[in-house]
Amino acid sequence: MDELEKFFKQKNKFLIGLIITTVTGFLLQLFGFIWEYAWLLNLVAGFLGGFLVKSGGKSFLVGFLGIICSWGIYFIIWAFQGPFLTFANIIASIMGLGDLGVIIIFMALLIGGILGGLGGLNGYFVSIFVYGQEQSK
Amino acid sequence: MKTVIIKEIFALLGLIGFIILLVMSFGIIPALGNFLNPFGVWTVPSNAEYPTSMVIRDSRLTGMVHVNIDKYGIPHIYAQTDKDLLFALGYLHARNRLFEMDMFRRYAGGKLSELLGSDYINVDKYMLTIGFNRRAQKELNYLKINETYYYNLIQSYCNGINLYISQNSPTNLPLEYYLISAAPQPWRPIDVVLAKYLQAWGLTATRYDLDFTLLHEKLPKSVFNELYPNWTTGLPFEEPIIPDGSKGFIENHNTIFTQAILNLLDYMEAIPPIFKSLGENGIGSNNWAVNGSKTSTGNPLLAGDPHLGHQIPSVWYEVHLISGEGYNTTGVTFPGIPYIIIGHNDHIAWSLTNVGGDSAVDWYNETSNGTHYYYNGKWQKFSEYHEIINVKSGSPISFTVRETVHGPVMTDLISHKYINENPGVCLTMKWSGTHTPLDGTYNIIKAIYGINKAKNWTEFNESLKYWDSPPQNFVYADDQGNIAMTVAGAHPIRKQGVLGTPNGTLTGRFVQPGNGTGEEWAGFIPYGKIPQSFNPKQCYLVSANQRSINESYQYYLGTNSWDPGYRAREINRVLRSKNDFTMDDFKKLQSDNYDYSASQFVPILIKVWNYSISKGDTYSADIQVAMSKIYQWNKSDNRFIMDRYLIAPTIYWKWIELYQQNTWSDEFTNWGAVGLKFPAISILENITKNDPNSVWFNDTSIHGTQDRNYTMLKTLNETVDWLKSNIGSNINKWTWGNVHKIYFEHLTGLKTLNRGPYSHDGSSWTPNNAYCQWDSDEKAYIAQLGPSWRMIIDLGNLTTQLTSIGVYPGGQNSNPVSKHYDDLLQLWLNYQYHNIYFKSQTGVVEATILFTR
Repeated sequence: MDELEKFFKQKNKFLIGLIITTVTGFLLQLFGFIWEYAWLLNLVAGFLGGFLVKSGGKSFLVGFLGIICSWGIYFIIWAFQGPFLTFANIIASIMGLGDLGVIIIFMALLIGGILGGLGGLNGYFVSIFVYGQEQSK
Repeated sequence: MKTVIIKEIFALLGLIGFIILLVMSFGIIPALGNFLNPFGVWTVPSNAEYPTSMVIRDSRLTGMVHVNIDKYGIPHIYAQTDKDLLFALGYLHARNRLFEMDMFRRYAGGKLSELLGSDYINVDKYMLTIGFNRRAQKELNYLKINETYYYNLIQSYCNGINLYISQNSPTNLPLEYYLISAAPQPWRPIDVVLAKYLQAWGLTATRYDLDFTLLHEKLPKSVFNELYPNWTTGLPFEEPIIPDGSKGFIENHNTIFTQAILNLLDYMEAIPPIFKSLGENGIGSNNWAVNGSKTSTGNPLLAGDPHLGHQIPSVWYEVHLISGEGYNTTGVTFPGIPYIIIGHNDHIAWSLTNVGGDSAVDWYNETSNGTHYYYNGKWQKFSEYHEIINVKSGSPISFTVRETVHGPVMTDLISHKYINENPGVCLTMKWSGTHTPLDGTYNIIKAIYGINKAKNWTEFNESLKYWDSPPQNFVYADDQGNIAMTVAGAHPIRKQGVLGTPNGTLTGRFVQPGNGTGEEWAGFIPYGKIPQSFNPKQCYLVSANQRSINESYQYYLGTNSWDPGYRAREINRVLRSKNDFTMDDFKKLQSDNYDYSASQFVPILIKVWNYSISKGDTYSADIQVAMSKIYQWNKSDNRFIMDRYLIAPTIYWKWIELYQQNTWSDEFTNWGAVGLKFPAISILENITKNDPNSVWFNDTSIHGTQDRNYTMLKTLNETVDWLKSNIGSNINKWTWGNVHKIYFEHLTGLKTLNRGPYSHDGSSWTPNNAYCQWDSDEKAYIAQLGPSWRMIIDLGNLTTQLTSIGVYPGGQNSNPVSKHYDDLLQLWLNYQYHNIYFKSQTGVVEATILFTR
């Protein structure tokens, strides 16, 4: 029973971390309207998510997936506003990838994901300093 | 805990390393963090099209401005005041062409390296040496104090641009900024003036004086004037622009530093052509007008097609401006410059061609001791200006520009080693664009606003007198039935007159001694004396960059620097041919691919061939087939038409190219003048027709005496050989369209953003100008320039009916995913036009914009 409760607790924490990362990442990215380096704030989003979860691997994952989700939402919004995929193909072509715009989109998501993941990992380690040790979570 | 600390350190280092990776750009790969994040490059498509309606607020507006965007993305701007009108124009220029505009101002101001890196240092050095920046600042100061009205218009235009930049930076910028990890700086009035200078420079900067100086050095003096006739002799078969030429050298040079000239030419040739639209091989143009006695409707008709180098986005942006202060004008603008350059209003229409000639640039060989130069009997101190070039990812470079009374020392651009070895080398350049007086005599901004709003010939003519540089042939027509042509601009008066000094030694044609004894300028030709024709007896007027006026004109305007005149001869021929012209006739004439040079050379070639066959000469089967194509061409309905589906144009084009070479290159080699400009093709036409035994046909590299017939047939042999080795043995592949292409290169050079190559009609001598050069990589003649804007106007019912049409090769929006990126290009390629919705309610409104306080 304890194991099950622990499992759900952990799972909840992961989900909560994921939601926090996604939402925070989405909101902080809005500074992009005025600051070209606002994408760096995704670190903070990943950090917050990673702070909540228990293991290093999960903290990376929560940041990674959270930012992918938040950037993915933006990409979907942009796709409704203009010829997003055609444009991705142009960028791919400029970068010597033919018309494989999908690869460029994945590359963008991967970059965001890694950034969020590294933020999450750092959040996790800071949480250990805060709580004293891993088990305290 | 220790392990945790170590892990954290690694996590932190990993994070820092990753961030560094994302903020750095590597070669052509931009900084990936800024580039690929959701607010980076991905925001570009959202600006591809206008929203159906939008409201833009700014407290600097004095009233509301309504904008209707028609189905070609062309804005029709309605404002109460001209200031508000230009505010909206600035905003829309920026929305559609910001990067292009930025390149214009940076190129002119010597600031490309700051954005693009060290590859552009030489370009910046060149531009800063010429000194647009210094002159532009002086002009701006003048406008601010003496012409406040125009200064305020410019300021309002800049405000519109800056509003767009502030609303759309760092997101929604043009793609190019994300690719180079940069953002646009605010727009200043001086940027407008700089862009204006760049356009003028692009249309007037010639190296002819340097070329002619070298030629004069190399060629025997006895033949120089025969091959490069002076002002009074002129080229054969010329039909000057001004038909009733009522208003009316030889050369020496002191010791010219030939090596310095060669080095300087090398330097100039190495300047990368940022804008295909500008440059010596990127200019040409046609315009003509006929009065009502030569049209089916009884109304004047006017046509214009300026020929510039091809690029995408186009150098033009189309717009219709309407204000409560007298504007109701439609036409094309240069992005970055707030007025309509070519177009019409509700009463008049006008179009421009470049004057060319020799009325803009002179070169001087100064006597210098390194620190001073000698002028008018005194040693004078150089004026010195310290310039700094900021370089992206590099250290700033500072250097000093020296100037004499004539202008900047251009040889300072050549490597220091050379200068050290030759301390006296000092060639300066005097360009009329930076030497017109800033005292109100000239003011191009005043001129063009006056033209934009002129209601009749008097107002137009009054405005045109303020036009300075670049000198342009303005064709004019109005709804009162008048037509006119004016060779407008600041043409320097050469102190020595049209023939130079009595022994014919000093003219504006060569590099001149700079010590005051050479050809100097004595002001500019007064407006009342510049060549002009108003309602001529012949009832039509044509300019196609040919000689402006005949030798009876009292001032020197240039020698051998005009177009050889085949376009003009063809247009003149057509306009003489009937008296009931329609707009459709003018469309046909703008797309006329009749090569007048072919009509002069081919019949002689056929005659020579027939004679040779009758003598029993034998030729290979390939040559016979090639000649049969020429025969068919000569007899068909497509006679001398450079049509993309025909084979004969390919044979003719290679033949005429080799025929020139075979005639001149042996002598040029003997004279040590390899690579220098051959005589004009009309000189060759003249000796081909009238002097078949001319010494110029003699091939000095072999024994015996050779004549025209020999040269023509030898050339035919070589032509077929060349085509076989370069295009292939299958003659069916020799169609002109397979060998003659056109493409539109993007400013960045990125292939994905280019358009073409397309098979293309025309040649360098057809009214549908397709000046081309062989590209061995592409295995094709690439058309370097052509009609950059085609416009035809019926002056009958401008206010009530759609009577004007136009098109340019490109599109209004530089965003590559916009439907307006190349929609006009598709029309242009098929010789189609769009209606110019002068009465905008007749057009389809794609979007509306409201500018308000």
